[in-house]
Amino acid sequence: MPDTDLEDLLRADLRARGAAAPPAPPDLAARVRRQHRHQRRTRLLVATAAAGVVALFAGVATALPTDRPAQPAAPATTAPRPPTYLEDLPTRGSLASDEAWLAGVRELDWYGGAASDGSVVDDLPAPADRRVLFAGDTPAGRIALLAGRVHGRLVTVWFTGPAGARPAGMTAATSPEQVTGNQPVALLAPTAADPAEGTLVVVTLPGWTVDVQLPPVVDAAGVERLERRRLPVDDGIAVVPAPAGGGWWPRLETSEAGGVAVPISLGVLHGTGEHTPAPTTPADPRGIAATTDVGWVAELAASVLAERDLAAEEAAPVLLAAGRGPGESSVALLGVTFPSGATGAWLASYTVRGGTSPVDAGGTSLSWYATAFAPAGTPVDDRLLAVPVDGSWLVVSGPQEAVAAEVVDRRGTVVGVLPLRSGAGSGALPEGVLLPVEDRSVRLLDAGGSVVAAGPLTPAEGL
Amino acid sequence: MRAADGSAFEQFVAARSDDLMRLAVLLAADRGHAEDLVQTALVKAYRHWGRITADDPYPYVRRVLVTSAASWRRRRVTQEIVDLPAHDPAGPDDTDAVAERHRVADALDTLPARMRAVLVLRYAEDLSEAATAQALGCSVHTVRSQTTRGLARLRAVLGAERATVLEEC
Repeated sequence: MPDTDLEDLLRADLRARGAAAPPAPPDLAARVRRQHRHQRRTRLLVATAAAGVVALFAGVATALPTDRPAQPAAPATTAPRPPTYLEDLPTRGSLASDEAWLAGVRELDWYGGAASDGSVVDDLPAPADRRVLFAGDTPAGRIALLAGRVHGRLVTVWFTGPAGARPAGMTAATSPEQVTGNQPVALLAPTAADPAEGTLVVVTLPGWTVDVQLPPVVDAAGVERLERRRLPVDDGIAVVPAPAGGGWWPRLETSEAGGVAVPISLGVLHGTGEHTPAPTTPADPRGIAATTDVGWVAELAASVLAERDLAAEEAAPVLLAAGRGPGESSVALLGVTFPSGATGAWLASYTVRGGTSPVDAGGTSLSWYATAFAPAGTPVDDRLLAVPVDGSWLVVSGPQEAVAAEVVDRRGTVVGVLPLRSGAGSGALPEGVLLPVEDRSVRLLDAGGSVVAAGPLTPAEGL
Repeated sequence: MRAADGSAFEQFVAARSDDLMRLAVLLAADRGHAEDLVQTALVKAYRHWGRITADDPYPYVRRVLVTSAASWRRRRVTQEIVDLPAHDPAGPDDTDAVAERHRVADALDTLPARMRAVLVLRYAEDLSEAATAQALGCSVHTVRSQTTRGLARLRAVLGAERATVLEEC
């Protein structure tokens, strides 16, 4: 779907749903004042109660698995009830038995470090009310997941630090977040040895499975596949390598045996998941880069690769065609070769309104097309791609020796010709030449007039 | 809070609460949580009302609302799952428009909270990239990349059955 269509669809949907939004409650201001007063009183009470709890338990070993009141011992013949909530479980992870370390990390400032995105919970549990759900050494360093209840709601926060860090060396890596008690949580953090690689830590209930949605893969047949992988989970904990490139977020689901799949809330370590992929300048074997904005095409290429978690060397992006488009627009056709050998191509058009390039423009209209995948076998720059734009504009890429693209009607009559440079071109054709598209085909000719490629013209919907 | 501040707060709520509600519905996707979200954002703003120096407090409150939405969304997703029956039998919607709207809403729900917020601010609030960046406390570059990637992800979800638009000949 072109971006213009997608943007229109999104805008229309959001506006329709916004217009259907109910009015705010008439007593909203009064409600706000009441809640504000209640929170102020509650904070005072919590502070007082926390001081009391600290005094009560001073000198008592902190080995209790929960902060809840002690329960009567169950009869020996009764099987223990499986825990329902994460906070019911004792600390898991390689540091679970290091009581001094756990006690230290409970004292840490939950807003320290990178709580800069504003996704905050104002009221936090007192240190004595905090639970350490996970604490361990991972390839991303030391990681701890803390939780506590505020006004009955469970709040969690991830802490990270270098390998071997003392509690004081741990900092809040995410903002405190409200979750429900049985909702699995996960963190994607850059691996210490190579920040380009990530480590995914999932904390869920024992016995639950964890599936990850992998980045889309295009197989050798040119078919895009979305695959899932079941992660190895030990005692409800998964610590696995994961891409940290930032182009995609793994979609995680967890489920109890036979139960409903539950999306896992994924915390992305500040600066990891939002890492902007470095612009990737595509190869320019046809020497046409000067006809487009190279910086913008490089960002386009980076986005294409990042969505599939591919490095530039794995996909060999190449600029297939570029130049003017209809009206004030410009077009660029980008090709990639997937590790399977299959190829893909993206056509993008953009219009700069203000600024000197799409990268710095105040307003850029971008149309971005879904890719055209093809099976392995034909190099992407040898594929015939002939895309009509706006009904009177054609963008073509084909074998480098092609010097012209002829548009042919159903009877074999040439109805339009587009000159090519090094097998690529973008230009206007007389009105109607490209219509009806199902009756048109294209053949590419070399300098001697021989046909080097031929095939039907396929419309790119939306342009 | 001074009386004058209280009066200004009352006026602000009367004038802009529907705008906040509309935005909250798009971020939280249902009425109940949207109301909670608006109220939470206003409580946070109320605490600091006397220190808001801008002539128009709306951008400040909007920022609080947007940045609070992420944690609310987590809770909502799970609660919905808990509340819904285990099996939701598939059936055709009454109209294509309703079906399309559900698809868009579902697709938006798959996005990370901040990416969703970027798209809502850009396409529902019609904020510029710079204003969106200011609202989210991030760079214009981040807004641009989040927009591009958000659209790409929506396209992947929505366009799965829409055929390839280029074709090998």
